[in-house]
Amino acid sequence: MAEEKYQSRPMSPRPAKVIVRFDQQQRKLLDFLRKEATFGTEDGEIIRNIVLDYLAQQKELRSKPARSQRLPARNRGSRR
Amino acid sequence: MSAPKAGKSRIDLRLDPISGKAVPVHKGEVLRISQIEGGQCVDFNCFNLRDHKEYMSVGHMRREGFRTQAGRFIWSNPPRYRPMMQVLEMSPSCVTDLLGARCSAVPFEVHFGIDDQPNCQDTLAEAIGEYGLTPDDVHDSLNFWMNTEWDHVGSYTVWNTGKAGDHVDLLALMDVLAVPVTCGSGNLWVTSNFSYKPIRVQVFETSRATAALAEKQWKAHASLQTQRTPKDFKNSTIATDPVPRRDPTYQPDYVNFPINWQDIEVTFSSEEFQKIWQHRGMLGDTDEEVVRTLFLHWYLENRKKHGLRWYTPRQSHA
Repeated sequence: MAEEKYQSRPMSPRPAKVIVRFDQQQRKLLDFLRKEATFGTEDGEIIRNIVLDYLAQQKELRSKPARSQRLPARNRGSRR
Repeated sequence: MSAPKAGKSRIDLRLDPISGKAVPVHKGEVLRISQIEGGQCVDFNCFNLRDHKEYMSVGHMRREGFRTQAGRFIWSNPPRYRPMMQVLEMSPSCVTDLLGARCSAVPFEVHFGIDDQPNCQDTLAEAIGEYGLTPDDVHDSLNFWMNTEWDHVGSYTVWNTGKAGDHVDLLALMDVLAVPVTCGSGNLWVTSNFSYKPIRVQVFETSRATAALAEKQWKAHASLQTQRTPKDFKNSTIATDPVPRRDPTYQPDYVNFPINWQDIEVTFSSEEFQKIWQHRGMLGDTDEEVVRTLFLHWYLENRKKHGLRWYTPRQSHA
């Protein structure tokens, strides 16, 4: 499995396109962010900038030893 | 912040074991429940005095923590989901429980072969009977002075830490029918340290300070569009026939049904995508899942409003 993942890892320096499926409620969040005009105006642009901002935030958190080292796991949940 | 001082006492009761009392408490008034000897568990139910179908939802209170503390609210059942009371003061040795539901007669027949054991279900039912309510109207209790612990299996009760003179003050944010009862199982279970004791129940009149706080909290926490009351219901008729009868013409109107999906193309540079790819397996099995998860984690941490105490990852990092 590890080998398979390694082989599927993007090696060539070219842009990657990811198709992300959002439902209408999730798109409302995109609308809120679009109104803020901080992260862009197009859906794909907003998602990209948000994802990169989150990764930057996590990197900053990890760099501070007093804080938690863990990244949020998928099953950490949002207490629906 | 010190609790506002209420007015003079208008009700002062001693509840002997194993009794209870349904007490109207009006907006701005303060209900005080006190230990007389200490070590007595007190089960508590709460209804809207104007609409008994609105009542305390322990399950939704549990979402804010397993221990109700000073400052926390007693929330009603969705779709109403409104603050009914606020805990103004609580003695440090009052441990609260939101896991134990309420004791009933059944386990005592099972475990002890006793079929007439006093219990909170029956005591609460007897107390609310004064207002025409039935045993079916009893709901899970907020339990004061019930020292519950929990582990990977479930919850269990340990020694009661209540001391003589301990008290809890609850400010009414709406007109409520408050129902404190002395727990009926504490003589055979450790809940009340294997003996019954009396409790004291007082209601203090509204003062200018308590009225102001009640109004402030009500305005702050009971003005959402989604806090729906019967005037908003498609069917607001309370069924009196105990048998559910199918309406063949009925058409459910589920919220935002059906789901409307949309595919959005997101472009990352090779370097950016390498960072995303590293989260495969932890934040999703596919690139799509990882990107959506990262997006929503960001939103929850950076834009979610914190009115209710759900999902506070920033605090957990601090």
